[in-house]
Amino acid sequence: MTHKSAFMLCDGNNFYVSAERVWRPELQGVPVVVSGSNDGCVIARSNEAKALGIKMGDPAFQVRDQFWRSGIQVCSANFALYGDASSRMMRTVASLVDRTTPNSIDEVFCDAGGMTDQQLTALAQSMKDLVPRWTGIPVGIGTGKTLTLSKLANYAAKRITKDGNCYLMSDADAEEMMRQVPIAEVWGIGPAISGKLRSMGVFTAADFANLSAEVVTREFPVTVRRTQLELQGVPAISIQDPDTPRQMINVGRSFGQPVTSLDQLASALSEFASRAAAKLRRQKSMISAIRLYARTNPFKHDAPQYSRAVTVPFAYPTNDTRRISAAAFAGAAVIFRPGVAFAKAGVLLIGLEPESANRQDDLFYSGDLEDQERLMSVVDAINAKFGRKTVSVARTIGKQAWMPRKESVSPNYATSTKHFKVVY
Amino acid sequence: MSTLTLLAAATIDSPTHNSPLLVSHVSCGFPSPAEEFIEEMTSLDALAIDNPPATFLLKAGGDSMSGAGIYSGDILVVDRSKKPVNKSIVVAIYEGEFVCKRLLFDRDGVRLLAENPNFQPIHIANPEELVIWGVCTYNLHGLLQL
Repeated sequence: MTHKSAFMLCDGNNFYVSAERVWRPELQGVPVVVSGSNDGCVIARSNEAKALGIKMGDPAFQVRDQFWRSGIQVCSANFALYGDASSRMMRTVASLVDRTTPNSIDEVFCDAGGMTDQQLTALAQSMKDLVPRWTGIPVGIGTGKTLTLSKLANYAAKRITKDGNCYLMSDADAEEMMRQVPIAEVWGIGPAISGKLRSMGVFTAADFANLSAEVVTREFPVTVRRTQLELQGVPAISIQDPDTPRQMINVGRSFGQPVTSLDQLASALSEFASRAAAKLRRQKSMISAIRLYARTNPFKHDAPQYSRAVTVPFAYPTNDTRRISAAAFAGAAVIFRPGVAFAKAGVLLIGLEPESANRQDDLFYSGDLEDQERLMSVVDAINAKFGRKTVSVARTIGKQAWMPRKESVSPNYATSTKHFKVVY
Repeated sequence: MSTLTLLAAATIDSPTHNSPLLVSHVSCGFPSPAEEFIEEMTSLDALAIDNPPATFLLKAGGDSMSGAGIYSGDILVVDRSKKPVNKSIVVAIYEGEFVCKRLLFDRDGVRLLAENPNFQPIHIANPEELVIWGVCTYNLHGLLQL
C-alpha cells in the first residue's frame, strides 16, 4: 500500500561541530563547541560538550575557562565551511528523492508521498548511510504523514529512540511517540502558546492532538489549529507557505527575462537582500552570514548550465539592510560570469539569532557600526546619483566589515584554493 | 562567424550539472569549421568529478607518493562516495593526520603504502579503526612549476 502523504526530515547532527570534524579529526571524541560571531556565545555543541552541561548561548570564554581540563575545543564559527557542508548535504539528499526543500542550514524536508512502507524505510536508511559517507556529516531522519509529524519524528530520533531514525507512518506509532514529546517541542508551537496550553492541562503532543478542535479554534490562531491537524495526520501546512515556521529566511525568484549583466544580477540580489532584512527585523532577529545563489535554467538542456553560491559572513550579527545588501552586491560579483543567462537567484539568511542576545560589549562595536552606517548612507547616495556601477566603493567598505574577528577559526578547506587541506 | 565565450568551470559547489568550458554562440553567417571540435570540449569538472556533492579537493604535501605520480603541491580530487578497494590510492586518517597512501589488504593484514622507497609501509593493527576519508580519483599536477 502506498502512502499518499509522507514526509521525511533529514537534519545534520550538531551540524557546525560535525562540519568542523570533517576536516579536523583531532576534534573527534573530545568536547567541541562552536562560538558565534565575534567569539561571543556558544552556538553549537558536540555530544561530549552537551554531556558536560554546556548550554547554547553560554559565553565562549567562560566555557573555555571552566572546562579546559576536559580538553574542550572552541572553534570560531566559519560559515563558509558550514555553507559548503550544508550544500553538500542538501544535494546528497536531493540525489535520493525528487522533491526536497531546505528548511534551515542543517535540515531538509523531503516530500516522499506515493511510496510504500518498504520504499520509505529503505529511503530513510540510505539517507542515513549515504549523507555521512558522502559529506562526513552524520544525520538524523524522521518520517511521518505530515511535515509536523516528520519534524516530531526527527526530534524523537535524537532524544527518544536515540538511534537517529524514527518512523511514524502508522497512527498507532505516532500516537505512542506523541505521548513522550513535550508540547513545547512541537514544531510551530512557540513559548507563549505552549505556556497557555500547559495552563489548560496540555503537556504532551498527544494531549494537544486530542484536544477538541472547537477549543483550539476558539482559543488560538488558525496556525495552531493547522498544527493540530498535522499531528492528527492531516496535511495542513505547505513547505512553501510563508506562515510555516522556519529558522531560515530565503528570498529568491525566477526572473521573467534571463539576467545577463552584473548590474542586473547585483541589483536583484540586493533587492532580495533588502526584503530578507526587512523580514529579519520584523521577527527581531539578526544574522551572522548570508548565502547568495544564482543559476541558469536547468530545463533548457541545450543551453550551458551554470550555478554558483557564495556565503558571506559578517563581522558581527546584523539586521542592517545596508550591510546585508552590500554583502549581496559583493556576492553578485563573485557569482557573475559573462555570457551566462541567469534564470533564478536568491538570498538565504543564515545563523539567525534573537536581536537582544547579540548586543555584546565590544570595544569596536558601536563606533564601528555607526561609522559603517554613515558611510553606507553616503555610498548609497552616491550610487543613487551616479548609478549602481559605483558599487566598487561599497564593496571595498563592505569587505572590511566582513573580516570577522575570530580567534580560532578553521581554514576554508572546502571553498578556498588557498586553504586546501594538505595530505602527506 | 561565431564567437567563443570562455566560462569558468562550474564549481563543485554547483547543485546542477557540469557546464561546458567552451560555449559556442553562432551569431550569423557561415558555420565555423572549428565548431565540431569545440563541441567535443568539455569541462575539467565533467572529466574529473563524478559526484560533485561527495567530491573534495585536497593538496598533496611531501613526496611519499612520487612513485604514483603525486608530487608536493599537486591537487588531489577525492571522492568520498567511491568504495575503497585493494590498491586504491586513498586519503586516510592516520594518528589524527590526513595522509595520502595506497591501501593494501592481503593475508598480512591492512597496510598503507607510500610510493617512495624512503618511506616505510604503515601496518594497521586494528583495521576497524582505520578511517578512509575518501578515494583519490584524479591528480592535478601543474607542469609550469619548476
